[in-house]
Amino acid sequence: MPQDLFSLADHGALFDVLTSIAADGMVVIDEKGNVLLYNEACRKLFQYAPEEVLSHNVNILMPEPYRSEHDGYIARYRKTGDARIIGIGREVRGRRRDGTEFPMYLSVGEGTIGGKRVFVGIVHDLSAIRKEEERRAESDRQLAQIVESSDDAIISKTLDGIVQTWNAGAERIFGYTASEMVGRSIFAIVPPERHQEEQDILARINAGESIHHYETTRIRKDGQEIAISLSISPVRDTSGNVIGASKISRDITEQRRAEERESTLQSELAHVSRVSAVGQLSSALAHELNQPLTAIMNYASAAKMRLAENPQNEKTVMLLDRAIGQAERAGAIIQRLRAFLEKREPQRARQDLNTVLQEAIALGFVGSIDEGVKLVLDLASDLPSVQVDRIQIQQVLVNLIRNATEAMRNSSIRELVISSYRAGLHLVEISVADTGPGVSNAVADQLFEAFVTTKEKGMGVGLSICRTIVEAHGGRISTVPNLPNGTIFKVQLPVNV
Amino acid sequence: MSAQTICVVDDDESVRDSLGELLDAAGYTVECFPSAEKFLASGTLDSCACLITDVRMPNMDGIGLQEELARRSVRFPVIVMTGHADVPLAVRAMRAGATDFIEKPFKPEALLAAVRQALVSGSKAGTPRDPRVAERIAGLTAREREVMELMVHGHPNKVIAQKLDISFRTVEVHRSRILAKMGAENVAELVRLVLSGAH
Repeated sequence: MPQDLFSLADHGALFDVLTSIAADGMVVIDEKGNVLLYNEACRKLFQYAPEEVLSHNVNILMPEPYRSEHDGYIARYRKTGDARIIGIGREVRGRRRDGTEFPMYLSVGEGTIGGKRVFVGIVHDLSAIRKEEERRAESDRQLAQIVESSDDAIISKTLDGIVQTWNAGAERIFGYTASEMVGRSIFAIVPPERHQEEQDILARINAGESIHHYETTRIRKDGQEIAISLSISPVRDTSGNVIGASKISRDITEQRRAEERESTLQSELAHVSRVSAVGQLSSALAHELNQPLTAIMNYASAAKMRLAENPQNEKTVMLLDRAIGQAERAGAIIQRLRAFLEKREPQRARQDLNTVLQEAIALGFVGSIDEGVKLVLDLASDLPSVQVDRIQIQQVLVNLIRNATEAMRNSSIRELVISSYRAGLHLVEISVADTGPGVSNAVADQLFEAFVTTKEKGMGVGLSICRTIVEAHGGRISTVPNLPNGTIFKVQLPVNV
Repeated sequence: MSAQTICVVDDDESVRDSLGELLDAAGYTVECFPSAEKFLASGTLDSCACLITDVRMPNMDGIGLQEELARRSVRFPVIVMTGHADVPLAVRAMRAGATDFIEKPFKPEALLAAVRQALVSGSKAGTPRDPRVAERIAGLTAREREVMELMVHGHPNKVIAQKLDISFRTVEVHRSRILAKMGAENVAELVRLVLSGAH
């Protein structure tokens, strides 16, 4: 101790200052364990007043089993000189006046005062540190639980792509268990054609970048390809160096499918609205066309009546009759078209199936003769009547007829065979057979499902709606190949009793 | 102007003019008017033996014209021409006293037949009762008569179902039975039958 700074008298004051302001507790005991010094920090720590401790055994500051064993420690040390704590220090537990315990770091030194051996203990309270450590451990535990319970795959990997952690979500999404993947390369789940992509991702992570919601595909253990959305962030050590990547993958296969379904639905809706716009237009058009058609028939009839007075005009009258007949036909087509396009409540009535069919053919076959389609009709003459909604069944038939003629557009042989016949005691059937390219078995199975056909053109209501209509009538619609080329659609309807 | 003048009121020039030619060729005296107002102002009301009018016209329509004629106590047969979708309107026209109605586009012979019929009935001052109609109505059940009454007022099935508190399907069944029993092809014909029988 520098003599020039403190006089001898000052040493007593220095000692007082030291012991009273030191943040750590200081205790001095004699060989018997009796307390000789107990400083202010100790008072705060152990909550005993100095007079309660001084001259008492230091073991009151200790919880069991140290309390009972402390005298023994000192005795053993005096006997063997084997230092367990003296000059070393270690973490022990202290006991407050109220009986509560706390962790503390105790370093013990040994010395002599007036020829007597004394032990000096410096006590550092570890409560705050331990508490903080526990808090961290708890928070780590919670974090680990969150990671484990997440539906998303949460994976960490080194910059070389070696998997370090692999949560339950990853097990579920990719099919590999943690023990299968930890220590293994992440490339196990990357499709070969996407290896470069994974390399690029790792390079970006290495550069400290994060990647959010990157949509790509990965391969499950069972070989199935799945769509995932990736978010990847760099993992840094305490000095901020990138040492790996944490990766969150979400399985978006279902979402993708839903999106695809939605987009199919959208296009179907667009088609329907186009059709209904056409419907409204046609309805207005039909109304407008009725006027000139009426006029044409009137004029032609007037001309016919005037000419009919002279027998020489017989031929001309006949020609006018034909003109009138054609105008009537045009009117009839318009009326059917209007009935067909109108929004209406279903109305079932007893109908002659062949009449229903022939009207549908007139509508559905419009323009097809020009395209070189040959129509062959084979209608049974003895069909029982059916209880149907004429317009709905015609919608189905028009749809089938138009599909058939469209299908034959690129065929060398274009023959449409439409037949009606009894298919059982209480069943009648209509078949529409084309010579188009036919449908594959795979497609045929789901032909009547919604959203399967997405044709651009046509005013067809879709085969799924056809099926709905036919089944609502207690019938069924099916398809068989028309060998060697083409398809036959069959609509079976019950004969109501 | 002869007492056998047929008056045509239609805002569509081609229909109006062609009807004039058709009736002229058939030997009738014809006067054509582009609107109900022009017809009413023409001074031909007294000599008109039969009126053929479109039901749907700008300003005063066919029914308005009938109502105006009734208000003026002018009586001659009226044939109403209607588009396909105008059945409820046609029903109103019939109830307003029209002798007949005919859907566009019509066969010229059908119109000429209607005119001949109208002139005959007009000269007898009233549509002849069809005795079969009363017989057929008698053959309906009470509920069928109720449904028919609503049908000829131009109510759609849905409304009939609501009014009678029965299912839509039941109305459909009644409807097809009524048409079958009355021997009518459609509601329009049913209206014609019922109104002719009830005159």
